[in-house]
Amino acid sequence: NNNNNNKSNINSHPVGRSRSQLPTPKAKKYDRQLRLWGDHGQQAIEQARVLLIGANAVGTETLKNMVLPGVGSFTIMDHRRVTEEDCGSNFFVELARIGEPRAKVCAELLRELNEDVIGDFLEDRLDVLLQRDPGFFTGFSLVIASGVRHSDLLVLSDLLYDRDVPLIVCQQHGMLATCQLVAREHFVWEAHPDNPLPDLRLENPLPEFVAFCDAQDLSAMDSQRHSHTPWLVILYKFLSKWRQANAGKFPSNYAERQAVRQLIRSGERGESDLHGDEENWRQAQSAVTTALLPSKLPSNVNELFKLADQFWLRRQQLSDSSAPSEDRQAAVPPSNWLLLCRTLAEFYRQRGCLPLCGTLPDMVSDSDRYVALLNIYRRAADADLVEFSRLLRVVCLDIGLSADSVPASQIALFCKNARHLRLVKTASYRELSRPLPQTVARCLEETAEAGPSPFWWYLLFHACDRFHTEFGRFPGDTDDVNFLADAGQLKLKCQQLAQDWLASLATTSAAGPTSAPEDLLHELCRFGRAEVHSVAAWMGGVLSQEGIKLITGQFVPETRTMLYDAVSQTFLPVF
Amino acid sequence: QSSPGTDNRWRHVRRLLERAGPLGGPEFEPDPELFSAIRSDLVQILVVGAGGLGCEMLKDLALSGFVNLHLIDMDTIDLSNLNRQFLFRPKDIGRPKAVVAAEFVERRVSGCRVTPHFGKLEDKPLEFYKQFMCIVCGLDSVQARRRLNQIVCSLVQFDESDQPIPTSVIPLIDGGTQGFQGHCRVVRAHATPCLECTADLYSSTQQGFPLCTLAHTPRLPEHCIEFARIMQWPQEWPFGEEVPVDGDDPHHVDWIRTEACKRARQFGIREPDFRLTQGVVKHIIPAVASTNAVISAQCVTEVFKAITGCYPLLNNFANFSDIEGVAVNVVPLERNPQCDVCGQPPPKPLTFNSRDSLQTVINQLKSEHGMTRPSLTACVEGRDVTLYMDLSFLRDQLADNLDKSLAELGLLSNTVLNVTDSAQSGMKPVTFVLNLEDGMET
Repeated sequence: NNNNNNKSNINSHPVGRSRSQLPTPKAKKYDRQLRLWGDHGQQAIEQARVLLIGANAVGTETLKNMVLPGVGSFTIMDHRRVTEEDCGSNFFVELARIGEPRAKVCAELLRELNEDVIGDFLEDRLDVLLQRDPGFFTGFSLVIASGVRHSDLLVLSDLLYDRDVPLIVCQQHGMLATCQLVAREHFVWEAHPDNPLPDLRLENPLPEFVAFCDAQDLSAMDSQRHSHTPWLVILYKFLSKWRQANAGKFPSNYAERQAVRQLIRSGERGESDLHGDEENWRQAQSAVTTALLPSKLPSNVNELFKLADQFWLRRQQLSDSSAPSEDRQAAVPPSNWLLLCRTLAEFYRQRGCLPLCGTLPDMVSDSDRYVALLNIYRRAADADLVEFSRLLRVVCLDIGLSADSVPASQIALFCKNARHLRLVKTASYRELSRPLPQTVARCLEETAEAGPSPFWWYLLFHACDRFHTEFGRFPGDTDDVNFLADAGQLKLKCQQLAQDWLASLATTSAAGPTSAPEDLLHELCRFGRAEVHSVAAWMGGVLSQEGIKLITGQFVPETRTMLYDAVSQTFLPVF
Repeated sequence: QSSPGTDNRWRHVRRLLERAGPLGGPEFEPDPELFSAIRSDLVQILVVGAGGLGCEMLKDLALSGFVNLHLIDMDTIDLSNLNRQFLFRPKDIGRPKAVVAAEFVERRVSGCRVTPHFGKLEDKPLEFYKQFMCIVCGLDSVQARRRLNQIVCSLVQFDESDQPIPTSVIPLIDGGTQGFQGHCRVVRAHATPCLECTADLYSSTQQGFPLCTLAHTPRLPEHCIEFARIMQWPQEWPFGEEVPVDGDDPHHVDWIRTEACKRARQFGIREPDFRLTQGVVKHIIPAVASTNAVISAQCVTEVFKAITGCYPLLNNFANFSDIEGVAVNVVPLERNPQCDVCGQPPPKPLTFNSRDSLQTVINQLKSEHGMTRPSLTACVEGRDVTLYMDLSFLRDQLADNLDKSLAELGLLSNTVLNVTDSAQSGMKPVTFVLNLEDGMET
């Protein structure tokens, strides 16, 4: 039940709209974040159900940053009781409540951060509930597992992965913390790129745009109109001139683009007039670098086309063959994004371009010409949207779905962001936590002389987990002054693990040392799994926003296994 | 066996301070006394700003074991703060942020003392800032940052060889956020760039549209909004004569929106909604809890390092963005040798008696410091005062001052004098600091 796949309420019932246009109290409260992800993003957040397993510092800090923006509901699972130690690292417990169930106390203190949010708790042990009621876990939009042991994570992830419930896994040891997103498939509807290239269709210009430009005679304009002609018109005119002189081809390299630039330069009037100098002509020249790039299908979109085609091919094969009708693949209808991608591929095949975005960057211009240009592009985008919607209806009917399976607002959102759509995916936790022998060998070689590296820490974190499984505590997590005694066992576990990971490689001797540097062993024992609050809070900030990305389908999640090192203030991929 | 009381509670922090490790700071020596040391009266920390960053910083400092925290902020709580300033509740709206934040943290983290200061940075004398071993700030204005930077840099004292005396250099940890981006930096005056060295990094978010665009060639909804705010409002005074625009008053904003929509319709431009209108009028910067949590946490980790020395400090500027993936980037910024604040050579001491006249000072500037026609200004009781100007008509205006004693002129020890020489055009002011053998100090 992934909210992301079937968001039916985008752009309807926005949080803040009221007849008088004055914002509601809720819109006021959330104003600063609504400007980042919009009313529809907020809606997705308010419909989300989040499960936190592990009410420790990292876990509660992550949840805090999801409760504050208004996540629909949360559940905390933790079988432990509040200890004195918790009071020195966790903001959502109190000294007065030592001995009470930690899940209960944290749930209360988190819930009171935001009266809009529902929160409850469970004291069950994770391993017990995984056996007893696996269905419980798949009812959530997102699961966060903080400080959960490896064996439980394997079972948990296997359960969630195929049901498309995203999982965030994290571990903290002192000044270090690792994290990993686990999601079979996650569709990014709105990537919000920093500096998107404008969508101008200059290679195959809109007829209305051509007519508009042709009706303007630059040489006949007075200085007011000359210096307020939008750069897009100027660029088009000189581009056409160049194309005519070059057998109609479109500039295909830097030199050719510069040639167009020079032509534009020759059209400048140069003198400063009473309306200031000709900034629009300068804008036209600098626009050459971005507006004249040959358009090609972005690779992320191409990937989506392939996925859609594969899906349809399989469907076809299954329905053609005599496979039993209980076959899950054939029975499951494709998610909206897949329907839309299939349609997009079809649109591209027919038209040779993606649907027009419809917006234009701002530029120096008089009002009427800028507005006229905007309207030309908007009308063309609307026409593309109508055509796209028609194609979509055909796609839906073709596979037995109703013609309006996808809400209009979702279709519009999809087309507007067509260039930046992508599918993000990771392997299951089972696969991710057992890196390929080649990867391991490479990492070991790379770090042979480098000292502390994310990979070594990651390996050691897993070794700590094995240590914990055998000895019931983490290395160095003892009041004994001789805490370093644990280093020997930790080193052994680390070697065993590295050898395990390298097992299938024929030439294990060619890899770097499988023995962790002494410094790192020592440092981990020194930490003794300490929960340093500022490190937990940092990770909580990062993970909460990753969770929001997964829930809203906006912005691009980080899919690599990452390590935060608060000593060097780095956040680096492990592999 | 572990000792009773708070020892177990702070086990996480004590591991870092009491156990030896190979990767610690170069001069770090673990010691069981270190933990009590950071909780002694000697360690006072100032948090500047009690908003999105300040609340987080306060929590992080309290849970790092620090007990003597001061918090300064001049604002009161607003509904739009509650999505991220988590120490405040709906019932606190209207109360001072510093006061409410202090109350909350003292209640939640017992043993932690937070002294709130409801007011501006300038309300405090220089002496106030001297007590802090570290200052961490989460401000949302460039001016406030620069003021704080000037304060911290002015506290630095120099030895005979013009080197900064380490105990007078208070580390300043600066955090800032905007939407999904932020930064954290460490400033140690004269060792790293100060905030003024890199003033251009803090680009203004003000969108200044050219007036002719607003008046004659609007293209965007924003142009219509600004036209209504800047031009129509002072012509119509919709809420009373001379009543200025209050971006927090929804009726004011709605009036502007209505006028902006009329203008937009006139030009065929998309009509702005309330949210866009208020955003433009108030220069609103979007904000979420997550980014503030990250940046504050990073800052407090650096505070912990600065005070305990357990690890080397961030060198010296870290960028953060989690729009696409998550990116953290550390850059060692360089000092600006021409910096107005820390680029100057340290002020040279001038030793006099409080009964000496200003003329005596000027004579010494001429005879021993190579000046021909010195002009002097000083900061007296918070105001810049011109003591004497050796320039044509001003010579006569201020001639009376020459015979006055330094005491009469209100000059005390530690007063900084800024001196220029009219005979050397284009010369940068040279700073001197007064040392009065018998006099009172500022």
